[in-house]
Amino acid sequence: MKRIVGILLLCAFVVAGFTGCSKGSSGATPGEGETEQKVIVIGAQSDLITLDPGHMYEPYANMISYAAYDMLYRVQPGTMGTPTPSVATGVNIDETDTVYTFTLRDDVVFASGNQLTANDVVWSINRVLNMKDSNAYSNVKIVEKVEAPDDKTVVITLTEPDASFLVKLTSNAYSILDSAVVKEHGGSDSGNDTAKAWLDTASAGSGPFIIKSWTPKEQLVLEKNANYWGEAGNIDSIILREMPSVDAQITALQNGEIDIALGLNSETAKQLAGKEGVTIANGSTALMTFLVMSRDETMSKEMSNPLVQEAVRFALDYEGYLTLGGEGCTIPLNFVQQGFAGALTRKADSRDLEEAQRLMAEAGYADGFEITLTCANNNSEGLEWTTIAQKVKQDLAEIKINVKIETLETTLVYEKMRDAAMPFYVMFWSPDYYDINNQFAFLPGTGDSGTAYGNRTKWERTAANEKMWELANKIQVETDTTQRAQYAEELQEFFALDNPFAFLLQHAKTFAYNSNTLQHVSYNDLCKIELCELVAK
Amino acid sequence: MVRFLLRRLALTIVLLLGVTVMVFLISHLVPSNPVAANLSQTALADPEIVAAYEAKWGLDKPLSEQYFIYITNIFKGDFGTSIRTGRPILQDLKQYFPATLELSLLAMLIAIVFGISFGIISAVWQNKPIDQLLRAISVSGVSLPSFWFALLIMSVFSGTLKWFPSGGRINPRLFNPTGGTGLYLLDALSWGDWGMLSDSLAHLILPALVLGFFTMGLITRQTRSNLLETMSMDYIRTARAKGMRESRVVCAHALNNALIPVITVSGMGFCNLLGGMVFVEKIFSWPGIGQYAYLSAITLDFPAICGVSLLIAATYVVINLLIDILYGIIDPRIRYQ
Amino acid sequence: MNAIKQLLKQKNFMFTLGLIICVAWILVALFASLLSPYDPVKDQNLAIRFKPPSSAHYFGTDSLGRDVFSRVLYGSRISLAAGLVTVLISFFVGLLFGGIAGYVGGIVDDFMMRFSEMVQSFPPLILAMVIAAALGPNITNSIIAMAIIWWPNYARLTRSIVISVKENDYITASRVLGATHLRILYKEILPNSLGSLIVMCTLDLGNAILMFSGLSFLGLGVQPPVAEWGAMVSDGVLTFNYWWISTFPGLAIFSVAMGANFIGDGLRDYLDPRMRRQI
Repeated sequence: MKRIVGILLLCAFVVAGFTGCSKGSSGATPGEGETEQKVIVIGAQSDLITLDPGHMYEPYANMISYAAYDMLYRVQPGTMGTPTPSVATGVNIDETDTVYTFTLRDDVVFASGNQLTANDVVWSINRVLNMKDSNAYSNVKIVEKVEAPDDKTVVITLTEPDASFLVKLTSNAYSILDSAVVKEHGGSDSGNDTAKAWLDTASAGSGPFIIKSWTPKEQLVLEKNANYWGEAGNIDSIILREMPSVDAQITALQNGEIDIALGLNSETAKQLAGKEGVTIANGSTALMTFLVMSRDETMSKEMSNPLVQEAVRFALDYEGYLTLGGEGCTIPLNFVQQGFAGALTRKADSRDLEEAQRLMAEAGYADGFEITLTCANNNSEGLEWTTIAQKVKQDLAEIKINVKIETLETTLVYEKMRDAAMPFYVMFWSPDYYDINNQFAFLPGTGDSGTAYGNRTKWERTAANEKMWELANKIQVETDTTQRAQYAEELQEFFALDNPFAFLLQHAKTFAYNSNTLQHVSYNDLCKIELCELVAK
Repeated sequence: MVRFLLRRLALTIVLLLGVTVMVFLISHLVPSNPVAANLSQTALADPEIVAAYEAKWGLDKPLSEQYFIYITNIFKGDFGTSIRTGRPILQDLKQYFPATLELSLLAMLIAIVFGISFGIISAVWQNKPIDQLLRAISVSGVSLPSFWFALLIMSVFSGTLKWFPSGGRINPRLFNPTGGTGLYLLDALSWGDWGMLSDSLAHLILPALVLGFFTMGLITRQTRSNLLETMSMDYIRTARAKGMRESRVVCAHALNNALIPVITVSGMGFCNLLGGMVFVEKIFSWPGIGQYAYLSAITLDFPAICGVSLLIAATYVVINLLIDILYGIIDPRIRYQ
Repeated sequence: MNAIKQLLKQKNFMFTLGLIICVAWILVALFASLLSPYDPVKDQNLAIRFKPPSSAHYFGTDSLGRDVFSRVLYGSRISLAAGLVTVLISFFVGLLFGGIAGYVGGIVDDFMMRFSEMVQSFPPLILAMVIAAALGPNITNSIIAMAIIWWPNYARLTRSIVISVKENDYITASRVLGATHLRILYKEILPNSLGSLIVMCTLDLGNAILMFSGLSFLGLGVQPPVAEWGAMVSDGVLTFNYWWISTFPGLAIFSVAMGANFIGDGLRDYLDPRMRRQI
């Protein structure tokens, strides 16, 4: 018996040692003010890894940057990337299309109480320009220099004309930081910036909310900005709670633990259909899922054949993919999403097995062949890629292509993609900025001056496809929207004749909210939930 | 005893060094590069960004040099910076470890208390209905796939019955504990905040049950079979023959000897817990080491993987040391060299 | 065989139940193609996706409209084989390793045990993921990954038994009588260790099936479209409202693991000579 007591004592001792003896200094402080606080809780799996607007690029990045920061231009609520003036009152573009002169509002103050001036804008853009290892850098690369002739004017000079510049301006990379505050915490506009650690726990912006605290993968707390210069909403605090399990989000929404469940898709949302006090809503996204077929003959002589690739496009059962994707999905004709200039869609019933078989025979593979389809452990808005791959296998069996599925971790697939080391794989794409210019990553072109997918598929730029680039170069700088859409349509139709992809779906976002606590919830793909537009009951 | 501890300490350092070597070797074996895991598709296609990124994280240096830098820094108390989160690894671990520790200690407590008592009851009333029932429970414990069981438990107790919250550590609307140990139960006790105590306990129970159920089955079974084995030994028969009360036979004589393998199994069980964490933490939105480790692994964030592995290895070493000491206490025949 | 006959004669209810479950699953695995009403892979039909259990589809249909019942039947082949092979590999490696460490003792023991601790102290899923990633995910590689994680359990248990047996008088006696080390290990210690090890083995058979399905659940086991229980559970996780997609394969994993455990319990009672006397 003595020994057992000894063991228990030892255990107690160890536990005490483990937990450390530091006494808690501050207790929990639940809503100290007795007036009723309006606290909104959002359940999501956000994947946020930083809150520094100079580094963010994750899908949920702009949900936060839009709440805590302002940009010169913002996305107009409810649209897919349409820029609208925010801190800037307007813009003047010179005849070379490279010098943008912005005039600023004079009533914008930061949460710290400091006045927002042109110098803050210049400082913030230069800060990102000098962080070349950052994902956000790809959106500011176009800027050659930025200057402030006076407190209310910002002049941005681009390296080349870019019709999508105002759209790029709406992204988190161009968030305006309170330079005085950020400098105190290690901020620098000339390289060696060390403010990220601080910006991960707080904000230095002029948006309607401030970042109160953030524990990654646990929760993010936003609080009303008492110094907000605009018209403030009626919400005191927003908590973004990380809930990696969709099932947990659904349960939590029904139990009233959260007010918005963001991680749904059209299938999972059915569990909430008809539930008292729950509203299910849809938003359109620019997320596409597609098949990539490399032109590299050394990996697969058969699959790299343009005729076979065309046959694959004819053999796919597009109606089936629409069913899998669920409500709100569409089939893009190719690389331009709905919502962008001149986007074209494919008819759901465009499967033509006879034509596919004819093409296979023409290519010399009437008896088919075997090919590995690589598919990452990933999903597009809740649609597992393995499900897509199994459907592809079934579809291509009809033209005697025997598909072997290989699943890998997402990072390994990315690595292989970068090395152009897979003949056939499932991939997705979400634009960095909401403009057709971003989609030129799918045009042919290899080597250092090539495009992302040109290099990934070894799709060469040749005299035969040079027309694509002629059109693309026009679109790149064309500011007239009708003319731009016309060029875009022509480009897509030409692209459709020969390309190494099969575009399957453009996805929709499904989410649900508690209609007893929330009055107005809106969505756009850049910001996801528009936190600044939320209205509580 | 002191010599024994010193020797173990030296061996522990060797073990931890071994773990770091292993991680670095694996990072060399895996045909991948953190660049692909951490840059966006557009950035990945931009040679300028990729080069800047590699230079920043020292990925352009040879592996042996990277390892040397890493080890030197560790001795300076710097565990490096996570490539994925961009934060110091020590800071990340400090944030996530208390959550996991709290959950696993409670799970272990459930497992040991119920496991040993079920085992004793089963052994004493061998082949009686109560034995059959408890064995069925313990067998279910070790037979349920935790990723499926966790979902089931949550949808029943949280979804249908609404008895417990659906996940997380605490209700964020009411509490935002800062400072303290990070073990919410302990913090709530020391602050005398009963509301927080009951709230965090309510959040803990379901995941701890799921997590502890497996180890409980393991312990029940081991206790039962060891107790039965010892009770058939000659000295127990002698004790019985002398007319000793059955309860005293079990508690004073049989239990001590039966507990040795139980301790081994408990130690293993504790380490199994850390494995099961990945599923349970994900389904119950528990912000702990399991999720951190999983995310670090799939993004090939080797500094973070190394940090987590060191932490888990250290925990493991401590537990094993305790087990070895416990052996000595229970069975004095085992001597420390 | 003798053991099974004896146990059946004794009317050990749990053992009998476990045996029935396992034999049934083995038969299912062998005759899956005869028992399945549909093809587990090829019979995709999006028109009937997410249909609840009915007389046409006993366990309903999944997201691609495949028959869950047929897929559960076919899944038994992979789970049973993977579990068995993993346990056998780990058992032999662990027995050898732990036996030597425990018997030789001293510095050798220390090094061997620290090595096994090093392997064991690694978070198993990370190790498995990294191994599966490095070797490429398929059945063989996930079995290798599991065995690498698993053997230290056996090594540690073997060692602890060997040490406690080594201290016993009869071993000291035979050593005094001049028996060689190998003889002592083989003749005296091994038979004494087997009882506990077999309990652990059977326990682990269920365990290994669980772990394998866990790996598949994470996408590290079998490659789709092969029917495997863990992967099937993960298919149903995102859509838990169609409960049948994950519930039936989950129950299948549960029942096999339970059957293996019941058999283990019974065998243990029988194999331990002291216990046999008592029964």
